[in-house]
Amino acid sequence: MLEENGLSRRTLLHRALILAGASAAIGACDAIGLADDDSPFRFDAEQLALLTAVADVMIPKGNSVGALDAGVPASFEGLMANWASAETRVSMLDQLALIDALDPEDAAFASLPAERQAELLTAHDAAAIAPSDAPNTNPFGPPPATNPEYQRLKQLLVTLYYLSEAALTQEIAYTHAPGEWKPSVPVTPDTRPEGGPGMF
Amino acid sequence: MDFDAIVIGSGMSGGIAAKELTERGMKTLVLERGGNVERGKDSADWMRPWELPNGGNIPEQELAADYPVQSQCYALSSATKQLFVKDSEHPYTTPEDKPFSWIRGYHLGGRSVMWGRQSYRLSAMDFEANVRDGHGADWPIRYDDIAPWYDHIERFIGVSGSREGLPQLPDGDFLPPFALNDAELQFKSAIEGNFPGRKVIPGRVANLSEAREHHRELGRAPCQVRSLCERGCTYGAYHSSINSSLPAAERTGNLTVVTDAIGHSIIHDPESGKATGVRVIDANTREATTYTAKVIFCCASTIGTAQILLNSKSEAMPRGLANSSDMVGRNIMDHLYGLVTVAIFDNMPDSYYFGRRPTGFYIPRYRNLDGSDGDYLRGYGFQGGFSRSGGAGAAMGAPGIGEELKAHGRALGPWTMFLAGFGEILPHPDNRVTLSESETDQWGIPLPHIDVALRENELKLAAAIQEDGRAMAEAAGGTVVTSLGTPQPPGLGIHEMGTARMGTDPATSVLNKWNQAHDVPNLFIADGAAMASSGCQNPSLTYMALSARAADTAVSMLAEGAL
Repeated sequence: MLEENGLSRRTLLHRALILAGASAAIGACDAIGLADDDSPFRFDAEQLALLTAVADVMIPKGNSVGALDAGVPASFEGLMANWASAETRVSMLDQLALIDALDPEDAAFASLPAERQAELLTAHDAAAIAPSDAPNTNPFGPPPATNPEYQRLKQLLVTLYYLSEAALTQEIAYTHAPGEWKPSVPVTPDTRPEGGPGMF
Repeated sequence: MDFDAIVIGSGMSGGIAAKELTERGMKTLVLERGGNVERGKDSADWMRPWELPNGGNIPEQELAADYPVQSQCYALSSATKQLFVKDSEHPYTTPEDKPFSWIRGYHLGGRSVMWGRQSYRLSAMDFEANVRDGHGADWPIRYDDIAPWYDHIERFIGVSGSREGLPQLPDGDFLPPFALNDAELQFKSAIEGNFPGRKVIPGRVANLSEAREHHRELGRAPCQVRSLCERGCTYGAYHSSINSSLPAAERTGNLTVVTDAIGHSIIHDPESGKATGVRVIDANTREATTYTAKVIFCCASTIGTAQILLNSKSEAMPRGLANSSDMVGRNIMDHLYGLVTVAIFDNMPDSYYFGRRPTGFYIPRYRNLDGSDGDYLRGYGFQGGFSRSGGAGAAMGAPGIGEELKAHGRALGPWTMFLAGFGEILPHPDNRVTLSESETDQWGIPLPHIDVALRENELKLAAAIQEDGRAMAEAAGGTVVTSLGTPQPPGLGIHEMGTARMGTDPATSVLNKWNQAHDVPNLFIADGAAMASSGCQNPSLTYMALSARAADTAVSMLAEGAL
């Protein structure tokens, strides 16, 4: 439906984010990968609205930058198009659909007031992320959760946010070439964790 | 003869062999089975996190189809996949119940481009281990034979580290260490106070904490503390064949490099008893070419070297070249890998650090140092580090969305320790690579069949590693949150070695004390294949020292007419 009106998908995504109050350009996530216009996978308009709402309530702008500033919906769609297997796509769509069905009155999640969205997703998140007894096989990942598929959806959205230029320059910190190793730095109220690669 | 010397393989040992041979005036051909890679041009270290394709992830379908083994390696990402082989294009076989993870990169510089850079000497104890407990063949050299060559290599490549005076981990000519952070200093104090004999030291790593004149002459600059090393380093700040050894060889004017040249076999002249050349297959055209030389250095990596030797069988050497002992392909070792302890600490200083240093801390071996073996033989060391998390990892660590999630991500997390044990694997003749009699690769070369198992001693070491890891974490006040006690498949330590071992007896070993084949006097093998035991230290420094020593010897022998 989006492509029927003759506008490019990228333009539509850009407009959708601007309408949603995002301040950063989509370009922030270009390299992570946006879905091409001829991509084999794209969200339809309703799915895109749902994804945008979920990302916004999960990582709101607050007093810094949020998921929409960071272009997370567009880059998530890009991941689904360029990275995800068919199985992963189905799983992620299922998880989004579960969120869309949270309202007892059957209202679409994206149509709900922000406060109600937050209330529903908070409860859903708490139940889904509750610890499970599954063995922890990845020392670098989050602890095993009751709903690992929702945990994966959340992990993708959160990771895309913290990989973004917006988050790494305005929410936490990142220095691409530190140039020196300082083994001891005092912590102050302004200290922010450094994101990016590297174990130590 | 086309050349004075041919070096098969351009990785860690091949690069050093080429440097040492060319610097001694030898017209040297380096054969590399993969394509060309250039520092800077082919490095992905410029990519900032938001510029990583797919956020660093390789498409799932591609990963499953092309990288089922390589994906087990921590260094594979969308920024580095061009440096790893596609398993789908380079098959090998194993017994169904004995997986072996063969991690490879076929390009100029080989795995030296993506290596972990941890650089430790073997000690006198390690060179005497086989004769002491009877496993494997006695090394034909002792520590004093190789010590000057460790010095030589450390000076050339640049190794940062601290001098500790430990007999089990000899010191070298180090660049300044990457210092321990505050939590690591407190951990060091706790471990050394509670466990006499154990030491926590800065990891020794082949990154230039400072660039000396001879490093700068090769265009190398100090480490920028980015920890992006496996993507290649535009600064040339860590040692690799493309950052240092091959440029050093090239400036002599004596180096020729041919890429996309797959080593098929080594030609042997039964009359002279010598190797006369190397037959290669062009990776793209599949055309065969033979290059000739006075001396052959086979540095194709442990499995690759065995594959070439076994594929070089002839009427005179029906079991393969230099294989009268039947030891070619046997005695594969690696290091126990994947034995991880993760602990969280709330008793550490509330401080932070700046930069992403390319190493962490190291705990040298402390078991069985005095000859009184306990429940198991040999020993293990640990690599680890303390960090404070934030961002995605912290935000995902607990339930919560919205401002709560962002608060988790914005806060400095608790100090978290990662501790990984590396244990010695004993040489065993049944751990071996053979060649398939029915299956070949796309170039017509028989597939390697790799049959390696961990045995009783290794499993006892693994249990001891995890027991000690937990005890040290808890003694320092930590809470263990993850303990992975099952070793990963052999091979994943990426320290495979031993398939053409050195030894004193031609009946039980392939190489003599100069890395010279007992059966073929002008054939030298100085990659991991030459190792008679594995120690528990990362082995690349030893491969390089052996390569330099062997090259020096070969040139002397040639000059004396002994080859």
